Amino acid sequence: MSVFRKLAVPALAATLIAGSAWAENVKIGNIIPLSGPSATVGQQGKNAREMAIEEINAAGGIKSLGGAKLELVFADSESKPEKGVAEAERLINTEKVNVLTGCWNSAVTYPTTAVAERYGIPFVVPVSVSDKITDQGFKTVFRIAAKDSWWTRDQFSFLKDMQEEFGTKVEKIAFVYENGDWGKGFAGQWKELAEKGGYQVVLDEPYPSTATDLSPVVQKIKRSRADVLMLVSNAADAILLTNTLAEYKVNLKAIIASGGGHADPSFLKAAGKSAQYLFDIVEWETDVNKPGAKEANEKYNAKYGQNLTGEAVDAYVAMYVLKDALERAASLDPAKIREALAATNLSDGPGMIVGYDSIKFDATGQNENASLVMVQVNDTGKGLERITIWPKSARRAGYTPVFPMPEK
Amino acid sequence: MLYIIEDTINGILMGSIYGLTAMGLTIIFGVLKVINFAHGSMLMVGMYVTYWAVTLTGINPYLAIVIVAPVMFFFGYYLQDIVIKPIFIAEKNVREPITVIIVTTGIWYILDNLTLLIFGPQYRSLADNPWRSKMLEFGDLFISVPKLYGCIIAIVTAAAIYWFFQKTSMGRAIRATSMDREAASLQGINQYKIYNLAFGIGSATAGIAAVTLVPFNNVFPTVGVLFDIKGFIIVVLGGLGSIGGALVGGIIVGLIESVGPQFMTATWTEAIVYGLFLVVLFVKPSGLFGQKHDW
Amino acid sequence: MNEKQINRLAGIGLLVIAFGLPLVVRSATYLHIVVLLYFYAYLTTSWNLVGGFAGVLPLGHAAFVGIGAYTSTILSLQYGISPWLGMLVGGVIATIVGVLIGLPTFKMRGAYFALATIAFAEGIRVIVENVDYIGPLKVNGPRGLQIPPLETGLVNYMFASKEPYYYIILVMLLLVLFLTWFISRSKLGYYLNAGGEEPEAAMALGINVARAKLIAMAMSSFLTALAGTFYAQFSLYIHPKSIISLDLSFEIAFIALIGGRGSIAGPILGALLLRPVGDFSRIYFGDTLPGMHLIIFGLVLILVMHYQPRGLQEPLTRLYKSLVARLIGKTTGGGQEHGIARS
Repeated sequence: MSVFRKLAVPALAATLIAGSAWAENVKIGNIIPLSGPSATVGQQGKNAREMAIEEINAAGGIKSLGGAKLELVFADSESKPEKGVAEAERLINTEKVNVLTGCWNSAVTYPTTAVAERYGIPFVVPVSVSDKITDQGFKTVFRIAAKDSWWTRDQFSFLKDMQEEFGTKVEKIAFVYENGDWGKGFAGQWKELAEKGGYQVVLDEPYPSTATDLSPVVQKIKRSRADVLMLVSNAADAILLTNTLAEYKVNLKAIIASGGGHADPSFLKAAGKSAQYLFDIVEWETDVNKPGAKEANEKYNAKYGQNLTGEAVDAYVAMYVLKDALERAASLDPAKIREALAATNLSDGPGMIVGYDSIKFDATGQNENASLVMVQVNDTGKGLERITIWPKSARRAGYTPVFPMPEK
Repeated sequence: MLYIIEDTINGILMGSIYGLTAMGLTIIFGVLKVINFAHGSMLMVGMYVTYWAVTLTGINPYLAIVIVAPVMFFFGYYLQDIVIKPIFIAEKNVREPITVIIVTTGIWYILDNLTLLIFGPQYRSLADNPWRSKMLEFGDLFISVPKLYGCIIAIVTAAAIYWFFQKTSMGRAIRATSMDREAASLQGINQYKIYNLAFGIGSATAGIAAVTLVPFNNVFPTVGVLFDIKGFIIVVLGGLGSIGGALVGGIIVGLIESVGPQFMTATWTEAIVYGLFLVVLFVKPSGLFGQKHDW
Repeated sequence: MNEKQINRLAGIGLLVIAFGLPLVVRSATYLHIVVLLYFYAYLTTSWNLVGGFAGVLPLGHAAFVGIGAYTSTILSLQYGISPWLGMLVGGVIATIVGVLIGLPTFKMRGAYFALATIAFAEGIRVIVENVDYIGPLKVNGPRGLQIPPLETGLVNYMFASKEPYYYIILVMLLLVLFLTWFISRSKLGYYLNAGGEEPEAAMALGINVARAKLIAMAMSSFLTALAGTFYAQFSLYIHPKSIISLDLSFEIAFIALIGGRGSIAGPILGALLLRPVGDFSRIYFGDTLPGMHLIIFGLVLILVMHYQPRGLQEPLTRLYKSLVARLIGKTTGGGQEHGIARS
């Protein structure tokens, strides 16, 4: 009897310990560019994800899974589709991740989401804006960011609203964009929207994103006598272009950028005064009127020395979307997680710092509420900053946008 | 019409800076007979040295040459001495040791990614930089001041290097080695020492080019790649090993890039550059100013 | 047992291992890595016909990969032609382009040839990135082409698992290895080798070096394009920046030089070293130390060139020979090298 007892007690203890360890970690695989030309965006995405996971785990992890902690596995795509695909295979088959997120570069996102689809692993895309990503008919893909047809639509609505508000007429538009998937996607839609809006397109100019001198392009903009210039740029070329536009004193009523390089934390520092009055479309801005947003940004800034950007916020929120879905799925079965993701309707709680009311995916996996804001770069006495101005309901109190830009 | 003049001027200015970025490449090739694939990365290192020299000491960005050029000279000198020389020794009998190309590519990967590891992926540019966006204005004609300075520095550098190779005994020794290794070593010239010197000078030239670029460009780990392929094209156009040729090659590329977009979209000028490059190679393989035997 | 028997036994052993591997390695991760390893070994072996035997350094072979991938993909997407047929069409187009580019460039020496091939490949990339349509053919510019999932099976060159891809690329690799072996012992191989090492002397002997090089170039570009189709069907997405990239062209040359240029085993050995170094260092350092894996890759390149400037095949062949010698109980110096190690 006593022998039996002696054996039974540790055995029982072992079961108890095993019981508390029953909460298996949830593994989230993230494929992002950590080296190569897009490393700066990849780094932001990594920081934002890590901050969100820390918060979620500190708050007790996934309760329905017995307090399971979220665990991030990062893989470097180098912005190359080949590497992204190989990493997706590895994360799914070897790391046995429960969900995937990524990849920022659309060219990497297309083939990697196809891999996830084949294995039935849910794939949350925080940012990669190409329409095609959710138009492929994939069941497992969910995108937080707005798609490019919405970005372009909002840029044109903004332009229309500004003309009405300030009584300035815009007729001629110039399109200048990086010659890649992203730029080409935007330009194609701009053309249609311009036609519909009755604008005259006076310049349609792609440029190589490896350009070392953009003054010839700026010359063309100047000569086109456009009223409004619309841009899609990565960081290095955004800085170069903005400086060169200022150098050549190109007079425009407005410059409307498309996030990306223009929203990069290094952009304002590097372009300085040249960036004043620039309009940029983004998913999120630091002055958004949402509880928790300011605190999140302060925390992020203290940790990583930069402000949160739209891209970082999408990555941050993606973690909370996953947390919410896992909580409801109460299972690590990919099919159940997928189902829970599809039924997402996340409107409050910590982490919901986006500008719109709730995150909800339509049948294609697109976040149907994703909305965008326009900001203007200006100095209101505290140095250059990005100020939300559109939609009017979100405009920073007391700020009047500058439109058209003053003559140089 | 005015635009064409403006673009032509911009093309010449920017082109001579391109020529300066490629000058080190042509010097190294002239002596070592090796394409240095790490040249863009050396330019990038030069840009970081310039950036930090200016940021930490507050020195005028152009005066930073006095810091950057020597630092880069020793950087190149010892890079060749420690990493590349052993391979030359191992491959003594090969005229154009292809293995060295692989080694320079290895150096490229290491330098770019070491920079990423140490300094992070951020884009940096000089704070409160008085030269950024500085323009000379003649009515409607605009000329960029930092590019003008870059052009002047490029010409002065080319002249100085030319003078060095023609008039100094060290320069002559380098030239002798470039023309005939065996004969030079028979005369008591230490071939490997000469290689170190040539690499050092090439690297210092990249440093000078970096100084001209930093006032109006961004500094980031992969910035060298943007100038890499351009550099190869320029030196072959001008004739591998020819200093003046590099300058002219650079100006040709600069003009195509600058004037070309007025007649087509900017992305097509790249194709024009490659096309012209191939045509020149086919018609006159030694480049515009290259001599039959490489120097 | 004599040397010939041992060689045969070793060969059969390797074949058994190669064909049996998917039965042991069940993980799609590792099969994926091995498929790409074979893909690179195949590319490098095809490259070797020009870069190894003909003694020049082509750095633009990605252009042929691109031609192959785009041709079969466009034909299959727009006209429903099986990629197998498209693969041959791509091969033919690549051959024509290869000969056209070879005609003027083979007159160039060393560095000029290398740079000319770079410019040629970059030129092709720029053109692909700048055109949405070539006539009726949709190239789709910088956005690349996606191959939608079709019914899996041999006709569509599309499979749900990795194994079929594994066997396709393995067979392709074996065929191209056999071809190289055959050429290396043929008159053509002799001409190429002679032309590569001593062009003047070879010409004095009445060898038409230029013609031999062109034939090698034609074969090399044809074979490289076939791999392009394989890549397109394997990854189901082609993108000019990655498929016609200098990175790809360079990696082929790295593998050849690290393995041993102009030897038959070289490309395999090079791929066996470099591919895993690249993949596993990215896996282990990719998240914590961004860029570290490329530093390691660069270091490996430099170290191998330091200690084995003729590539890995030389010491490994020596090792193999001495092992064989020990097996048959003879003591031979590792000096005489035939067959595998022609460098």
